Amino acid sequence: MIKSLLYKEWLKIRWAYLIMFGVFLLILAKIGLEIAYDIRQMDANAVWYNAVIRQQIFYSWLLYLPVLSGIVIGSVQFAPEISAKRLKLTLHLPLNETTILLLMTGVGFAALVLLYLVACISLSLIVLHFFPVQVLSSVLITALPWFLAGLIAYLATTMIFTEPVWLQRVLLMIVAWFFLNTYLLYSPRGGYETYTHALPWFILLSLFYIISILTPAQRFRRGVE
Amino acid sequence: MLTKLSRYLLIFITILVAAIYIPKLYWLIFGERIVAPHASYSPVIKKFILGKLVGKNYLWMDSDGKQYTREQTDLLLPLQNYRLLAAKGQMPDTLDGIPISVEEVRLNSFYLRFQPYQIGMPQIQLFPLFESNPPRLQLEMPPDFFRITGRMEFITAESNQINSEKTGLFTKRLQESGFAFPAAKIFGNPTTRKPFDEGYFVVDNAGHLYHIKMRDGKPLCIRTPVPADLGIETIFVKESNLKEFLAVIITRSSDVYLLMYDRYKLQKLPLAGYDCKSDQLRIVGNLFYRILSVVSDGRLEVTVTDRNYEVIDRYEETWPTREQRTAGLASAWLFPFTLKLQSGKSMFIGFHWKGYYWNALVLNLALVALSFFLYRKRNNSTKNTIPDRLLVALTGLYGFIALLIFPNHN
Repeated sequence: MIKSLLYKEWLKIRWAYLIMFGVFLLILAKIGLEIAYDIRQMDANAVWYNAVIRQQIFYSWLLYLPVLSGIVIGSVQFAPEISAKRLKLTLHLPLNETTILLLMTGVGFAALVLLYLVACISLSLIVLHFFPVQVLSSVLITALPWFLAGLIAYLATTMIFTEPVWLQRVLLMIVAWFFLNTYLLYSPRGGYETYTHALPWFILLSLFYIISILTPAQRFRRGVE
Repeated sequence: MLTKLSRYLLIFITILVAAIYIPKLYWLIFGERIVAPHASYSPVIKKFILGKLVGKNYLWMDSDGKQYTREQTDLLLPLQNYRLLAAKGQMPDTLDGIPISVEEVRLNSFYLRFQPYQIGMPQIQLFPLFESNPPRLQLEMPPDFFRITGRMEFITAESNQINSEKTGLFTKRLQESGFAFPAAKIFGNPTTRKPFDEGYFVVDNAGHLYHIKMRDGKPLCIRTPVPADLGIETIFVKESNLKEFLAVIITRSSDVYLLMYDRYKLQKLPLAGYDCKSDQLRIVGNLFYRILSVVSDGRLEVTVTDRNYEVIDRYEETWPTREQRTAGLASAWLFPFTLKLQSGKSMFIGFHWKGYYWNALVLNLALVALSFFLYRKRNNSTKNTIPDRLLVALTGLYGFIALLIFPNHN
């Protein structure tokens, strides 16, 4: 039963997932090719100077990509459930409703974690090809909140789709929008590693959305209109 | 149970977001411009000259309150307006009976400003070491960057490989001068836009301060007599043609020292009330004086010294901060607390909490009463809504908004 439920969720997201995989790899390739191009055009030490001393974020194309992928995966997984209220049928499976819902979001969540891991490993290989390891740790610290934002965006999307009332959906979107914003702040003066000290708190806060789908699901079940 | 938890987690997030963005919106609407006054010291009348924004006009006055026009002010401050006065042909030949020349005034003038966010800002520990005796006179970006871990390693940017010859040369020189690897802190001024290069100041693992430079491709490494227990927070290396001091050292207890060219002696600055984590420090030098200004929220403290850093005079002024003005006082009735993620005083993102403002309890309790009314309409049992009401009593406006978005269905 659980196996077929998981398989059904995978069927819903697989194409979008593969496309997002492709988009990530394309953007990563662009980042790598751009560094190589800059090194050819203006000497490697100038490229290092920009990245290390002038604190230019040469991987800034990654800023919104995790959020985008989170929204896409969340949408393709939950839009079909909402159209014609199919979620009602899903929730009638002989399983605990909470279990069903958390299994569903678990599939998307795990898929995104895998995608982000592959993206981070590829990014690391690119960075290490051109820069010393000190730059890599800086890049990972800088980009980690962006990936956390991606997971939050996914969880918030599933929650927003499950919410039955439109006005309520808009309110949930506003809260999620501002919350995501706190993960995507640039330092007022540009620069890297700005989240270093606050990172443990932001990791903790990102977990707050992990069971968020249960709240609108309760309203859905009760048929709040 | 999980459903209940899910709702409270969402409420928590909403309160957090509201406490950040609603006060932000409030200040976007009601925030007024607050400009700190600016102080200089006139060698002509031996008084502080202040520039202040009064209403919409910028006014100049001395410390006794006498006002001057801008042109009069220029003449009172010839050592800082020398360019303008020289162009107008109004530059005096002597000051205090001492003959002065524009060239001399220019050489002796400097302006240094240190913002709190510059202290302890993020920095990847890789640095370019310049050739300090460049064959073509101009400073050039070296092909490699160094790091000081177990060795002083130079990594060539082109190949991303360690230059083992240069690494060996510098590591050996550092070991000979007693350097304890790895480096604890590295400070430099990595730009080619400076008159010459003084290299880097490095605190080693034992707390000693070393001066590391490259001259004609060879390493120079000098252990300075700066005491290891000085508690160095940061060092700003400032090459200047005046060649009086190499760098400015700020300690953890916010003492400020100039590191002098003369045998690396420390010259302590006679500052009053400086906190490097929150205040801005300005060091203005001219032919006669050093003017040290500490600007914090609502306070300016200026010390003027002679060239030997003996205090001549001090000036202090305070003004109401944003929180002390009408909009700020009103905000304490609206918001029980506020959160800020970014601060002008740090490059890092953090949770800057302000509060708790007990005044807001009035509004909080009014909102609790209002929520009673809302719950009555929904026929909720009183017992189930007690935690919700407590939340509103504590978090006020934020909690109330959160409850509107995530109503109680029990």
